[in-house]
Amino acid sequence: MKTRFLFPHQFKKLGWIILLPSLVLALLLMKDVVAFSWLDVKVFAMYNPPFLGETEQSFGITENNIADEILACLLIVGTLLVACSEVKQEDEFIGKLRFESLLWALYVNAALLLFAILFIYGLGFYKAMVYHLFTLMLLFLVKFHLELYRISKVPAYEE
Amino acid sequence: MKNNVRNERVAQKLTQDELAKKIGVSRQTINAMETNKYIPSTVLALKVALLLNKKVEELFILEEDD
Repeated sequence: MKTRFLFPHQFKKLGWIILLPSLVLALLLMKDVVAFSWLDVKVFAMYNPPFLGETEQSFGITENNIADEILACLLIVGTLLVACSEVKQEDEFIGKLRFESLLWALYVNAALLLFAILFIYGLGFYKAMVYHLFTLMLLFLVKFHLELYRISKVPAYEE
Repeated sequence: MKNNVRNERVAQKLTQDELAKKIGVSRQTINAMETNKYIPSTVLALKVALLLNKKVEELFILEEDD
């Protein structure tokens, strides 16, 4: 089936190779289990407003540990490649499952956001928003693959 | 909408997999169609009808709540 906005099937494997290690490393980094101090570098900041008495550093060079930036980029690319690559036999029924999974993920993601707005405060809210950056794509990926697994288990009735 | 795809497929001694391959869809799509979990597009319905040598309206039948 001709598809728009989907990557070729071969990209799915590449997506998994990128996604799984970056997801594990990102979680370990968030929990301060690992640190990559050798990734402290000078970067260009387009917008970096003053914080706790520091000076404004927008449109200038600032020092930053780029481990989280690298892992976040890899997570986004990996998740998109896994979730948005064609399955082996992409057809209209799979397209319907894809659309419904995306809609489901959107609603669950919105519910998570409402929950965070109402019940999480202070620095916790900032942390929750960092996780929330990735939840829509990850929820879609998980739901879609669960649906694919579910339909792969239907009896064949191949008499 | 109900359909007679399964009956006609079995009558022509085709498996779901064979029918799917001839049309270019997954076996799960044929299964979902036969079990009324998925209503095919006009293109897919026409392809199934052509392959099973039937008219579309002989394979796919509207129900009262459609």
